[in-house]
Amino acid sequence: MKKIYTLIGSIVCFFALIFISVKFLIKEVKSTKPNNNLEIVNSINRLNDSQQRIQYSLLNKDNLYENYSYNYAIKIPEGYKTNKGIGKYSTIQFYNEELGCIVAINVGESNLEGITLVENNSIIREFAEEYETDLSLNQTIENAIIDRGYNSPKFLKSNIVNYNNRLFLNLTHEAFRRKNKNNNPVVMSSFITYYKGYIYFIQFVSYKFISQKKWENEIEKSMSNLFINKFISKKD
Amino acid sequence: MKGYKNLLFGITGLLFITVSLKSLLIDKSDEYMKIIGCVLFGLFLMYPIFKKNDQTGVEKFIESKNIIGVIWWKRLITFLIDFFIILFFYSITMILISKFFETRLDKLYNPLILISPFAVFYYTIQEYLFQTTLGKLPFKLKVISIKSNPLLKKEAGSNPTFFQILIRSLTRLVFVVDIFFFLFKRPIGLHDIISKTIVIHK
Repeated sequence: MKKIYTLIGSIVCFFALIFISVKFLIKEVKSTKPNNNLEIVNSINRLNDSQQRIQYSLLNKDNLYENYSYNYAIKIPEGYKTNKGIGKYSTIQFYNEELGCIVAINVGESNLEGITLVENNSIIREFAEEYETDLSLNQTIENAIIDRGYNSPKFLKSNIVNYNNRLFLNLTHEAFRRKNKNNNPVVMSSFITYYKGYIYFIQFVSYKFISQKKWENEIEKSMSNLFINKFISKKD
Repeated sequence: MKGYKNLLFGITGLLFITVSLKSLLIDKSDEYMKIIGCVLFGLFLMYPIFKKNDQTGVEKFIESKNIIGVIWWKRLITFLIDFFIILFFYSITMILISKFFETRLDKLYNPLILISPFAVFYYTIQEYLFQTTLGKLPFKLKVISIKSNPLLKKEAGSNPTFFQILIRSLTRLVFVVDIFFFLFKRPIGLHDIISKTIVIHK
């Protein structure tokens, strides 16, 4: 019986020690790394508050959308309607009425002014690592998703992707979208990158019942034709 | 003279293995081929010390007491059972930590380093209190000491001391070398030799 008590006591002490040491272990790692988390949290939070400038843009007949105000160009899937919005907080949205798929491009302000491509790539790498470890970052993104009208977002995976030498933090979430009385499951793939003093948050949303392979193919087509560069500016 | 030469080779080999494991676990190096090469070279250098004709204390004890060693597959199964139990408790703890602290500790640190305290605690507490583990129970195996301890008035073949068990558990952490020993010194591993203990049928 004495042995059993010793065993139980040891187990309790061991787990207590583990949970006490966790705080110090986290603190030690955080103190050796530069804290850029705050920047991504602030810039994502600001996405909703950023007043959009009057934007000069063009959607040509090849479905290539060019935005000269924020210096980017992206290929939009065939048969999608454009909604530029009229409010000061409106963002660009492309949607397919039949399938219910959406491509939304949000550009917000960040504190990383004058950021170069190399700096962006190193920050995105850092965020990807932080995103895996710091679960409070996930909460920020989930709040941004809820703000955009979706319910119960659930994080699925994160990875770094490279399109045209620019790194993007790619986050995949599952959420629900209320349509009349039904709560329909959707899958959203978000891409985050930085350029100049802006954060680019590009979101691809599709209903779960749609062929995901086909949809991923569409995302690939759009993203491989995404360019963010000062050369994408309007003619004089 | 031959013994010294072998010892020198052994120490050099151990150094190779330690440096390789350090670069893998602590420096998080991704030069896997170089690390594997270094570990294998280290094992090659260490091999002469542990050749079968060089009897260890454990083997001498087995011979003198006429003990039938535990067959290797039984020890493999016990290891696997224990490993899955440790993995289960480790996973549960990591899930609880991520819930309470909103941090993935297993992503911040190398999981091999994080699982080590669980393994050491699991083996130490059970083998010290009960001379067995949950994995050893189905085969009715137990750990005994092969050396006598006049201070504690313990004879060879009695329960191991806490220090012996702790050494046994810590040596298990160098699992790459431990597995190597099982291949050449069946059915005893490095943790048996160093801690001067042996696993026998009850």
